[in-house]
Amino acid sequence: MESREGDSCPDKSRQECCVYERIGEREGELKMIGLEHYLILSALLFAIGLLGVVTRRNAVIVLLGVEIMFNAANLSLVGFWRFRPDALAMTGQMFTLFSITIAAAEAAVGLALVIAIYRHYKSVDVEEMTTLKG
Amino acid sequence: MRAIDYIWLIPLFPLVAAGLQAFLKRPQKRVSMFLSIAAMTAALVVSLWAFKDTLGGGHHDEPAKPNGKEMPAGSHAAEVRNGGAKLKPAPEYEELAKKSEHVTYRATHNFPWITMGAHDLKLGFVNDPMTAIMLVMVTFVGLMIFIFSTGYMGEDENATRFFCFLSLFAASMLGLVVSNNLLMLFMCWELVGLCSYLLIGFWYFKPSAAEAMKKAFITTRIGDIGFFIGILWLYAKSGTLLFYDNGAGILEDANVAKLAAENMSFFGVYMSVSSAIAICLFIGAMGKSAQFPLHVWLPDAMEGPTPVSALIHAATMVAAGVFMVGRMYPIFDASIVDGQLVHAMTQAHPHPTPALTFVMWVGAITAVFAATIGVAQNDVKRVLAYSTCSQLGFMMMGLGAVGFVAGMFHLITHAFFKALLFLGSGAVIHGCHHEQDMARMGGLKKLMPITFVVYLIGMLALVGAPLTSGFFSKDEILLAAFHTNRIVFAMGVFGAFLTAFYMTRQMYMVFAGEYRGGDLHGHDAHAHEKHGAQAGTPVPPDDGHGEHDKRDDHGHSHGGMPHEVPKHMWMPLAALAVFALLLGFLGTPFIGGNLWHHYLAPESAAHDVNWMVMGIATGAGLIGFLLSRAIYGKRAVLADGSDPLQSKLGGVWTLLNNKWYVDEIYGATVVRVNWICAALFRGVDASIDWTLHAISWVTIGISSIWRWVGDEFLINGGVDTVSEGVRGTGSGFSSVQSGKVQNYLRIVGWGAVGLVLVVLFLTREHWEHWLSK
Repeated sequence: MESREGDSCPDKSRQECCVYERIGEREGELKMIGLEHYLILSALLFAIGLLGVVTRRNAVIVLLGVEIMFNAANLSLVGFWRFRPDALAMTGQMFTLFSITIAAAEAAVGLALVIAIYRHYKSVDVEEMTTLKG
Repeated sequence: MRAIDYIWLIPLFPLVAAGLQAFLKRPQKRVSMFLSIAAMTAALVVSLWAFKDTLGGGHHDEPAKPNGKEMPAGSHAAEVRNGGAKLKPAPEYEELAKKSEHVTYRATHNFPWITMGAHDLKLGFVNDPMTAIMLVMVTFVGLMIFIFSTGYMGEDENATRFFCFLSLFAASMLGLVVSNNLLMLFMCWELVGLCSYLLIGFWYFKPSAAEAMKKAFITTRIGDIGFFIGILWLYAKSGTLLFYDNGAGILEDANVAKLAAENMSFFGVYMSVSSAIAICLFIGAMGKSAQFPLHVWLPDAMEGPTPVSALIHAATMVAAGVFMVGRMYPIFDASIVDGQLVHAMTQAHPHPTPALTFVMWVGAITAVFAATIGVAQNDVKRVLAYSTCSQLGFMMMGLGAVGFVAGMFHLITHAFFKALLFLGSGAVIHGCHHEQDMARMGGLKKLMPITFVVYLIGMLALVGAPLTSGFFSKDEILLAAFHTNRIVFAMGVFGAFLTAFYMTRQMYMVFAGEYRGGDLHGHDAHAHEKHGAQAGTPVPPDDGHGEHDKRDDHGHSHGGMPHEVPKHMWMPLAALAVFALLLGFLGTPFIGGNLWHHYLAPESAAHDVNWMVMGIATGAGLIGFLLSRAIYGKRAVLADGSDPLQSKLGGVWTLLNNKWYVDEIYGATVVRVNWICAALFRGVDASIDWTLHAISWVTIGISSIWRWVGDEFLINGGVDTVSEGVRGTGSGFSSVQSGKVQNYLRIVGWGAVGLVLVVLFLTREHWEHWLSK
């Protein structure tokens, strides 16, 4: 992206606002998808995932919620990378790729744990797993 | 080598014997007997040595040495009687002293016992004629009695204990006699009282003996109160209790003069302090020597075995009172005349001091009183007991009538013939298989001839038949009384009459006629009981009846008839009889000018021979003998077993037989007062008890309240509440850890939200400008 100096940037020394303005604030241009859209989506997704983790009774669904939270984090990662002034080569995407890989491994481990728990409790209802109750 | 240096051995030998005997076992009777007799023989030997020392007499001009130990070796040194006195002796004394060159021998050996700072409490031993003759008498008579006891008590199962007590008694009595300190005398006095207690109640399982032993001890103790007051008073006045101490002793002129010079009112009578102290001391002698009114224990003391009665209640212990009066005589007879110290006994025409008057009257009353009771007694030992009481009265009467030599002479002779009589009665009792009631005796003259002869000798001596020892001694006493107080003299004559009367009665009842007693077929001890109680004659308990049943049979194969006692029992009797006969010649004025007087107290005034008094005394005795023979000669006991005199005297007889009801009077007065006081104090004790219980109950109540409030409620409750609170809080908090991961996560989520809000709040200036856009 070329850097342009606009009038709406009060403080030229601040790179971020300049970037911001550059991207979504041309005259006559419809506002395009800004960073906030990504972040709000990410937050929403995170919240939904958190809700799922906290609320659902089935251990597998809890893991699903954890995955959603993961993806929300990835999303915010990508968004932040996209709206950087000098987007380095693939930094965000590489980061996200690693994160997804780890999420996958973690999901596998988690599901293995769920299976082990199931063997013990004969159920996947997290409400029943209160052995560590103090 | 002087005996005084070894005189402490005399009481020591029997004391050691007693100590050894205490550890013997009951079957070791022969060992015990041997120890007693050996100790007594050794004591006798040393006593004879001491006696020999005193025979030489003292020397007038020997200067007094500071203490007895520095006497030059080989001399019979003695302190002059007036050593250290500042007062000039009375003129008559000087005359008498010129007459007799002899001063009595006196050696002392004093030693400090307890040192209290600068002041010493000294004890000591003394050897003078009075001591020496008493030593010889006690050891010799004691030895005879010990030998007799081997036969008499030989079969008693407790013979070992008997000889142990006998030895202890001998040690105490000998200690009393040699002591030079009033405190040591008192200690030995109490010890003889203790031994008397132990020996009277030797058969303690008999209730009558148990009563008698207590009665003896308590009655003499009552006398000892007066004695002790006298001792304390004397010590307070004199600062020492030694008798003879180179002029500083309490019996020496310096101190006696000081006591006699001070006058006071003693129970309303105006007299010198020396007399008042003497009366206090005499009260002790009244208890110990059974003078009226403290005589009540002596007849009951016959509960003890006969050797005990012979030794203690005839010869020695009861003589201790007389001996003590004799020992303290310088205090009794001291008075101040024209500013000078005068001893009444040195005067040719003696005037007794108030103390001596008191002694004389008490003695005279006792002599007559006891003799009247003796007339109406049926127990052979009781008659002798009252006779002893009466004779002690005579001795006191003699001493009180300023007849020091007479009284002491009678003491010695009486010891011999009374011991003889008691042992004779013991032989009689033993021979009659422990029968003591004279009504059931009789005819023993043929059956026990040796006993009869010696008993007769004793009886003659007691009665004062001419030329026996008792004759001379009693005559001296009556002579002294004649010169002092005619009424007392009359009482003494009456006493002599009664003495002859009851002794003759006893001789007839026991030895004359036919044998009345026992069961002629077989050894039936229980037959006595069947005779029942006769009017006015209480059946006396047999001498050791309970004991008798336990003993093994002594193998009498001749039915129940009395028999003569074995040789080792009548030999001592014979020895005593010899002395009873011959001892009198020491005190007669016809031979050698009254050796006894010369030996014992040469400075005392001797009365000239008075044939009238001698005649009256002998006449009284003769009348008594004849009267008794008239009543009892034909038949000593009437057909119904009662006394021939009883019907003649009637009520008087009952009075005499019941001892003038003195015991009953005491029981109703003194003993009752004692009971009331005891009940009163029991009540006090109970109320103290109740108070203590109440206090303890209140204390327990308070403590339990405090326990409930303080301990339970406050402390336990408080701690419990706090701990419960903590637990509750803890469990409340632990409920957070539900084990449900989702809950944890929820909380984490809320925490994260909170954190973000906090961060936003804290960094609001960075984004606040964006809000306005």
